[in-house]
Amino acid sequence: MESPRIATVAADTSDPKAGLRAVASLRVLADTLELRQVEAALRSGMSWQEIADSLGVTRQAAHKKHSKRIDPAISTPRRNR
Amino acid sequence: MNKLVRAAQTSQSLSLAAMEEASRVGLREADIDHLFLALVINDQSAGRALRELGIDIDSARLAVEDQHDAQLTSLGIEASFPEAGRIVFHETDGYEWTRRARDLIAKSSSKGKSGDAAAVLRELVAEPSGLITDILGRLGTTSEALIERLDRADSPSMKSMPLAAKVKGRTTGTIETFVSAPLDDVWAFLTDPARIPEWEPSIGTLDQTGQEAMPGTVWEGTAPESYPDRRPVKIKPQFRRRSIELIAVHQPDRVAWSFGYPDVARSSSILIEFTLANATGGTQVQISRSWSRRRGWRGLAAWPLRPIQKFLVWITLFQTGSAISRAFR
Repeated sequence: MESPRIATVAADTSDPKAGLRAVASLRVLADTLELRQVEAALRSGMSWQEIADSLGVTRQAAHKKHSKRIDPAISTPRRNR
Repeated sequence: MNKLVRAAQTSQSLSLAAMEEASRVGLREADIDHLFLALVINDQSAGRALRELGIDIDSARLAVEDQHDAQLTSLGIEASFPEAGRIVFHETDGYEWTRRARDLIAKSSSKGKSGDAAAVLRELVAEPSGLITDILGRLGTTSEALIERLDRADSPSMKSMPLAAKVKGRTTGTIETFVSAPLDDVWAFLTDPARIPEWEPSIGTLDQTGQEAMPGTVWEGTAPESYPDRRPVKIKPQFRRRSIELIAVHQPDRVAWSFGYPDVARSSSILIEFTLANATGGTQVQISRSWSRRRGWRGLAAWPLRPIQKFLVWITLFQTGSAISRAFR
């Protein structure tokens, strides 16, 4: 995502309504990717603490948001890891 | 039918379908675009109106995807959403509506509004972000065309409450569901004993699936040992073994199965009948479930519980209906 195009186009604020809606799409994309990465992290054996550290949130926040949402086939690490 | 019940059933079935659609793209929060997809496969007049405009689940999914991709591109971001997978809603947890989707559904059953799927669709095409208008544009139609069709088609069509059909001594419930597949495919699915565990939650496995499916043929089966999300099922040993009988097959549109407990004395078996009908863009399936009531004092004791029983019948029928719909998505 370091394409020089980004800066020029993203800075285009001539149609703010479309721009705002596009930002909403971007948030949805971020949510999709976050869940995928959390699942991948748990599968690779990372703990909730490590995941939280990488996301820049507290362990409780990461656990609360994702613990129910993830694929139940993943064996999640115990509390204190 | 009572508006409260209709609104609750509509919201239940739209929530399930929308969250299933969200689950296949790796999301746990369903938004208005998923609600739109849920309406495309809805069995009521709202779904029919959309399908009569030539919109099916595949084209609708593509339009939603293209719309999001185009919006990302407009920001100058060259990324696309990860490819959608299968529906994992029933195996996972933590689903919710976005605030705006929840408010929109609530609004559709507010004062002066009917609370059915058509009311939800009317709210949806009027949503202020313009997302749905653009998606409709990608599907070659407009909000006005859709509303016009809804106005024409809007007749009270909800008959999915399991109270009708009074057969003496039997409790019956009926529901309708729309399946986005040709009648022949749905027929093949519902007459194949090997696929019963996909639509009947109380059957886990089935033996001798090679037997020819003729009326009177009986299969042995077992109750499932775990739920789709892998939690173990706790069940009394006498309820573990199941018998499955094909009661009637009237090609091409009617089939009936019966499910019993061979290890339980005096247990009554449950009869499930499917009636298929061609519909625009797929097949309308009517499902009814019936069993004989208990005789003697136990039946009398159950009398005050009838409304709860009706609700439970509806839930079970709803599960079967949505499982069939899911199998073709």
